[in-house]
Amino acid sequence: MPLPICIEFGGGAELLFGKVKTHEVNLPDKEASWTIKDLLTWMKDNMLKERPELFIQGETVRPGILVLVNDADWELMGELAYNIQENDRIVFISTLHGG
Amino acid sequence: MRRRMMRRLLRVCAVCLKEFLGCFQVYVTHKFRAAIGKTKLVRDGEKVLVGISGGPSSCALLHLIQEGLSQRAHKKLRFKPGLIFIDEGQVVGQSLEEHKVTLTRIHSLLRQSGFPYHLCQLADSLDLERVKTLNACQSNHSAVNKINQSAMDINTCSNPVEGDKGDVEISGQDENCCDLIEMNREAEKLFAAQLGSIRSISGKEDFVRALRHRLLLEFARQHGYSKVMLGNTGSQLAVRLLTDISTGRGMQAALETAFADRRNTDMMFLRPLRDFSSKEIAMYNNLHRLECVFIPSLTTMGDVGASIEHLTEAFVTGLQAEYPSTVSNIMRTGEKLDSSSAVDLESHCALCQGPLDTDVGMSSALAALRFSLEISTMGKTNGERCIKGDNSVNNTNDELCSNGVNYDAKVECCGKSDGSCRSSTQLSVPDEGLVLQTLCYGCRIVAMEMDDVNSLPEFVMKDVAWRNRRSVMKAEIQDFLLDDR
Repeated sequence: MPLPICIEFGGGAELLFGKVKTHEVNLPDKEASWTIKDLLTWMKDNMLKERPELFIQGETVRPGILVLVNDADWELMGELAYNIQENDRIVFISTLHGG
Repeated sequence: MRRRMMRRLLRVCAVCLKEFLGCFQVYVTHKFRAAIGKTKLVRDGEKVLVGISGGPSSCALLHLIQEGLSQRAHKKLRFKPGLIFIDEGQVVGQSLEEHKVTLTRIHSLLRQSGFPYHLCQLADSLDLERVKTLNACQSNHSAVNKINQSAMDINTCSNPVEGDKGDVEISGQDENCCDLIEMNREAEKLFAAQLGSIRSISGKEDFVRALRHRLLLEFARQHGYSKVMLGNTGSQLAVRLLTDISTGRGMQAALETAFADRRNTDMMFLRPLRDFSSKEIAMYNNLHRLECVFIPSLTTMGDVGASIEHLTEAFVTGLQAEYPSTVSNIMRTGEKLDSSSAVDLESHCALCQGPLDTDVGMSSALAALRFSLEISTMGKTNGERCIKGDNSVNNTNDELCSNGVNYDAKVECCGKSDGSCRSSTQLSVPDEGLVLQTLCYGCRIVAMEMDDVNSLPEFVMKDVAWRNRRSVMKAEIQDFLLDDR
């Protein structure tokens, strides 16, 4: 069954996603559980409007973009390996000058 | 050590988010207070101008100041803040619509703060005289205020909760906010032309930064502020430090990143957030749900190598991701740098107010650069001199230089031989070399990029003319001067 989550952008990262700050999305059905790593790939294919290299570098996010899972730093949650739960709020904040 | 503690703090607190938020709040507040308290630079009741760009760090700064001044704070901060927003929408060519949205949001942000605030435009810095008149009419406002209200409201707009008077003023400010764009059309046009004539983005960024600094300085002076507080975070300053070094501003690197910037004797620029990383600030804003305004910059959505600063930022943040102590290492190293600050007015750069770093020996890189520049433009220069007929082609470079200066000095002297040129009101156009002489190395690069050096802001040209008159006068009375030694 689909997994509803809330994705937010801040600090200029929203420019890459059609200038919309809050996205309510349903992640499609998947056999294994969703991790942040899967989410990033999915976002790259489905949400990212332009300049993917400004958001994603390799498998992870570009340095300088802060990822918060339910208000906690993703480094505490296991980074890419974190299993996304239902109704999680995932925030991407660019701390770079000018977004 | 502190970092390790913070790590442990984070891990412990992650167990319970609420506890974590509490810890984090205490940690941030403590660090902010310590930065201000430790240096003992801000005195009780001092008027401090706080530069607010609307971005994450200035939002956090504003919030921290509000918290610190509120009654519930443990040890209250005791200075009197005034806020200033400098509108730079024009730099990035924002559309009118976007611009208005930004301005409205900034305006509501500033109004909600309850502190006196000002809105002005970057283009104002080109015409400081105009700023004066603009300020004068605003301070008339405040003069009335002063009589009617308590001593605290010395500024254009006052706290909204203070009743009728405040409301009236705010509506006035509202108009002001919308009129802001119309008000300075001329300066705006001039500014656009100047900015457009600078070729590289790095140069533009430098230019904008110099103007912003100058405007803050002038504004603070005229409104009786004795300090300016800026919201630069440690991460930004680490980038600044490396950028300054790579753009030939090594002399200023220490000033630009220190807690207190004392390049101007009468005004101090403070950076109380310099011990914070951008990440901490972002966490803080998220924690307090602070809505910051996104202000695009010249390099927004640009390539990594769009400007030197942008490239440096990518380098530092990339390194920081792998080695978390990168920023603090850069900052600690930067603290050890020191450039002797000159007290003499004439040894400051006319554009960025930094110390002049161009008075170097014969065998320096700068001299070599100057020499090769002279050699490569020799043909042209000699041609001109020949037409004027006051130089032979065989003159050495040194003679060429000195003759050039003398020639210009005559032009500056408004034609009177009695040395009354000090009273001359007309601003004649100084020679390119003369202008460059008053600039530091970094600003010279920017000035050389412009189509015409003489299109530099008015305050620079005035400074150039002033210095020139002074040097001419000094040469005239040289024989009567007593030697210090």
